Amino acid sequence: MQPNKKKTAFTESLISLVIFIVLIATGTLIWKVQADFDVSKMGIVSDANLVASSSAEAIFDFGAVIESGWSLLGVPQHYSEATLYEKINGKAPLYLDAGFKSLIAQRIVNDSNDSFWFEIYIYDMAKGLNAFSVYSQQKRSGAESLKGIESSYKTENSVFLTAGKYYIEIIGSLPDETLNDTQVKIAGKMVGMLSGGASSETEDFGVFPPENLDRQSITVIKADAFGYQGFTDIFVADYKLQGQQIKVFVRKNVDKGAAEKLADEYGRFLSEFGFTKIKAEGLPDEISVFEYDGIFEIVFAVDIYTAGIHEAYEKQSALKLALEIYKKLGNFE
Amino acid sequence: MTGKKQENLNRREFIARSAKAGASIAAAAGLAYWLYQDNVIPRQEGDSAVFPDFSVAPQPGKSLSIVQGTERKSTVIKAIDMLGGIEHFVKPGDVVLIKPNIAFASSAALGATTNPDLLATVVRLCYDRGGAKKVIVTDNPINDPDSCFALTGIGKAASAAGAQIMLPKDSYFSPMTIKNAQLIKSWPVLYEPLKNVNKVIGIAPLKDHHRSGASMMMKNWYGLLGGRRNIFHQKIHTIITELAMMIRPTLVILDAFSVMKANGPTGGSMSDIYSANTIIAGTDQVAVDSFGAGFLNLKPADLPYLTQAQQMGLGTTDYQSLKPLKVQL
Amino acid sequence: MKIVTTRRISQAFFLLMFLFFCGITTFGTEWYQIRNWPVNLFLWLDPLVAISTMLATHTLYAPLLLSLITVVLTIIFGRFFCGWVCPFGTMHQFTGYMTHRKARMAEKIELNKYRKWQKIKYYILILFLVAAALPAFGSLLTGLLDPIPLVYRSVNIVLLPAVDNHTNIIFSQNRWTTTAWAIGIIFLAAILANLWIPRFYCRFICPLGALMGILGRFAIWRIGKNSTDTINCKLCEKNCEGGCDPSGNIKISECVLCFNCRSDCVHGLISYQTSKSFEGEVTSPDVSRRGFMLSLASGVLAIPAVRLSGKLASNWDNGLIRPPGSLPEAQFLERCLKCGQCMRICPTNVLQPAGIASGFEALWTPTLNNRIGSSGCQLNCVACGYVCPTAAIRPISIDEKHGTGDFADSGPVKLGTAFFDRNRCLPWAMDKPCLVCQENCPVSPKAIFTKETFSIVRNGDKVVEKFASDTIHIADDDMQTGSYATGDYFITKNNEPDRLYQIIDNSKNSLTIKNDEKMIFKNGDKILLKVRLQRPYVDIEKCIGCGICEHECPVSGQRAIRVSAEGETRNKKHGLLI
Repeated sequence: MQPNKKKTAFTESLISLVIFIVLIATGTLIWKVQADFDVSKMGIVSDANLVASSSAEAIFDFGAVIESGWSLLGVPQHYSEATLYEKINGKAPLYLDAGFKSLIAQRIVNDSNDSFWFEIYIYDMAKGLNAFSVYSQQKRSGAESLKGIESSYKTENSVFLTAGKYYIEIIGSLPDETLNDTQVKIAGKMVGMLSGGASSETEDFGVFPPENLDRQSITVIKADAFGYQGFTDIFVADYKLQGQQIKVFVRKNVDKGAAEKLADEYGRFLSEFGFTKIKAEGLPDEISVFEYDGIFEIVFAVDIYTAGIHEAYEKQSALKLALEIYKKLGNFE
Repeated sequence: MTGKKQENLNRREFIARSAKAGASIAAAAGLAYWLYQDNVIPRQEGDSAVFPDFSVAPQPGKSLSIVQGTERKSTVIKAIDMLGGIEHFVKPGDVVLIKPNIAFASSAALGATTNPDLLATVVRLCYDRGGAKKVIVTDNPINDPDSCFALTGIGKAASAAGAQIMLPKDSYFSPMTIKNAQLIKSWPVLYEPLKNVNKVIGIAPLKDHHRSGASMMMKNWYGLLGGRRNIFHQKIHTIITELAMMIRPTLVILDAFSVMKANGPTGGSMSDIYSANTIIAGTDQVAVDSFGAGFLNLKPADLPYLTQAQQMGLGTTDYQSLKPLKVQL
Repeated sequence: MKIVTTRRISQAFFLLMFLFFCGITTFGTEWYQIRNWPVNLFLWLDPLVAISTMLATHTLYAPLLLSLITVVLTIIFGRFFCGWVCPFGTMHQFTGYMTHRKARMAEKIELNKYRKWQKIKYYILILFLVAAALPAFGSLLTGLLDPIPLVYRSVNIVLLPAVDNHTNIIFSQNRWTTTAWAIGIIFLAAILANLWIPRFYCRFICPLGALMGILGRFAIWRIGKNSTDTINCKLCEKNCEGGCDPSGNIKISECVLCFNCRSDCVHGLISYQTSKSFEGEVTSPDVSRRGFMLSLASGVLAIPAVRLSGKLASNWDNGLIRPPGSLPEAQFLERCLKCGQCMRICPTNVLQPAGIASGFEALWTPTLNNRIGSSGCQLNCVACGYVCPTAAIRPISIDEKHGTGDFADSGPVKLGTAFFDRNRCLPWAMDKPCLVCQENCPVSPKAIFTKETFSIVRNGDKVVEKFASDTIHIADDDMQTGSYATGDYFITKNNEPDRLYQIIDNSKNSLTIKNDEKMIFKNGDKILLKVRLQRPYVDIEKCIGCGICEHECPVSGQRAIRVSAEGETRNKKHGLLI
């Protein structure tokens, strides 16, 4: 009887401890909740509240980047995860999935012609890679890069770039060269102010063998790449090979086992969608090739990487490229 | 022996019980999620808001027109004329509401919002040829209404053409419940501007939409919703279908002059736009959207809300069956 | 540490938290004032509040989502809320313990045995839930007996003011509560019942306990015997809080997880375990089919019967003046718990529980009693909507209340309209000048306006006996010295009725006239003493029914201006104008 009693006493103490932790947590939470108050909504403005609203977080100084002849139009607007919809509505999930933290937007208008205006969006994406992800997924093809800014490009009316953990859009009201030049200048200043010396590109880009790579095409997809739920944080890039454009994807996993598992599961996902696995001579067994109606998908695991080719239309070049990537990632050279 | 049997029995019983407990929890959580409501809106007895059917039967064989032209004004006039002219839709003394898409405070050039010239042309048609008593323009934009109406140029264009602009106010919203709807239940809807209106015309640009695939005529009515409508993004296709259930317009005009082919619904770059120089007008918004999908390289089947809307009897995705009237100016 | 000690600590923790919340529900930003203290916590955790409002409104008001925590934990662990959290339960347990702690063991076992009448609470629950769910007749009566609203109501608007009116610590001015006697008696009866049977309320009445008894039906862990050894000492029943028969066929739905049985069993035969009690257990409440049908039928009939009063139709009670933001009456009754939070927060104390005279359903719902408190409904206050746990009073903005900003088109929120009782009003009935209501009207422009008239005072026809400089001597000496010296009294000559001479002083037989113009009174002239009256009127388009005029009216009993609910914006049918 005696040891049994001891055991139950211990269990009781343990459970008691858990309950005390819950009670203390409840108390703490309540303490936290009560401190965040705004009794003015009830009809009486409190002094504490007035102080709180005036000491809002430090914001980006837009005044410091604009050229003379331009002025700020209105005050900067702030958006959080919960309110991002109020600014960009249906596009919000793209940002939220990629780790969005906050957005500041400010309109800037030309002093002499009020139809010339642009709006600067500064998306805080928490990490450089996240910023690059939203940047790369929306990248307008064929656009010209800005000099001296790694991930950037301009279109007829707008400029897009990343700076550190920020993704920045400067969107103009009209396609116009003067407007565009101003935007480029501002972009340059903002990179200096926001990047904190860090490039948003990471060494992870090195996973792509440089030969035939279209460097501008590198994209990071944070979730649901190619419609497959398991594909998160996928790096995608285009290769130009024998007149073909071929899409390569790479994912870094925690270990070799995870890489193999993901490759298997993606293979199964393809099969469910009607792809059939076909034989490919001259390739290592790890490389699986799938075909459906003249479209080829290739997937393999090597080292800690899951990689492959997405939607290729020409078999031979795709196989050749797959093998190259396989060797590069596996350090088999 | 019996002890073991008892233990087995206990285990079986325990598993069954745990399963039931789990099911109860799931049911409770599901119910809570389903019925969740964060803003309580008083229902006034006797005025539960419902939109009447604004539609007008098309002239035989004239329910869908597709016109390619060089500029919007003449193209839209031609498109409407091919359906029997504005006179068929707007009768003298009518009060017409035009619902443009002014969701964002962006410049008209970006194609994210309804083109101001296009809107002004239709407003004038309603007055000059339709004999409308009044034309109202309203939208509940995503961004703040004042800047949206100002920066898109819609505000200026509409007032210049003689339309009355109604900026949304909290008091304009009334809770609405759509029969057979899952989502629009006691949901605040921009009701006041439509209260004394007898014709409704939708005018929207053809856009890519990150969440739903495409934003055209049916999605345009999203601008009549109030409240925390972004929760509907979780069920985007259902809500778009329900929007088509909510409002049966007189006429819809889809602007495919500059199509936003990527990065919608906001766009941001001229390079997101390509010129297709087309106006599609029709009385069947499902058919108009089904045809419009082609400009984004989509088939009607790629947009689940179109299929759902067809199943609900709100229109047809087989726009060919309407024998569209096509012309190139 | 023993689990029963932990339970007592938990009970003390939540009781103190509850009392603290009651104490700090006052307007302000100090730590001992409302700030953002979640003073509704227990109401939001209460699944009966959530479920009954859900049945009535088919929606779940956001903060009530918290009750999901209680629901989930109850489904897994059983009625832990009753034994570990419920402040009312703790009060009962404490009273019961203090009363019976010295009783002999056999007495204690007898006190805490299972009684078949414990099923009454399930019938009460069914009746309430059916009443709430009834289509088109949904009415929330749960708040009358749900222990959480009951204890909030009792402590907040009866016990605390009763104590604080001695000390004036929480409120510097005394607070009042109409119908406090009824609320108090019910609370007292519930507490005193423990002298008879411990946790009487929990075992026999509590509909929340009943609900949790049902929710805990599939509890993963439950109290029970861990062996078929029978010692029949019944020690476990000695302190059983739920009266759930742990020694025998344990009634799972009655067990409040007090763990006293486990701690009292010297043989180690009781466990909190995943397997069934070895003595057998009863998971479902002891509700008979007949009893179920009866309470169902009562629920189906109760509200339609109550509504025969017509209080929700043409016989609506214009004396029920609901606070700003209140939903239309039928929807209000689907949500109002009668918890008294709005009355507690109300800075002027004008919000009061309605009495039974306003109808059974309106009992203890909030209404403005403008005679009580410091001053009507304050123009710049919408606090009641922010503490209302179920949005029966919606949290509206000041803009919405004033009808400004976005609400400019809908106009201000009107609680009702002020009406003059001309039979009681000083300028109307007694020829006495009075402007108090007009002066205090807070809306701009004022909703009370006046029309000036000059009325001949009683015995006001006099004859001039002598006139010297500015003083007229008259034949009678029936005047009271100084009574016409207020500036509101004038003299006119019979032959010159439009010319007014202001009186500045008077004695028994003389009147002094303001000496600013040429005056000639001859001996024998007939004069009239007149009083200038500014008779008040209400502009019904401006009046918001705040009741400040009624509060300030010097006719101190039944006021000469009184607000009633006609014209309230929440129900267009009660409007005065088309």
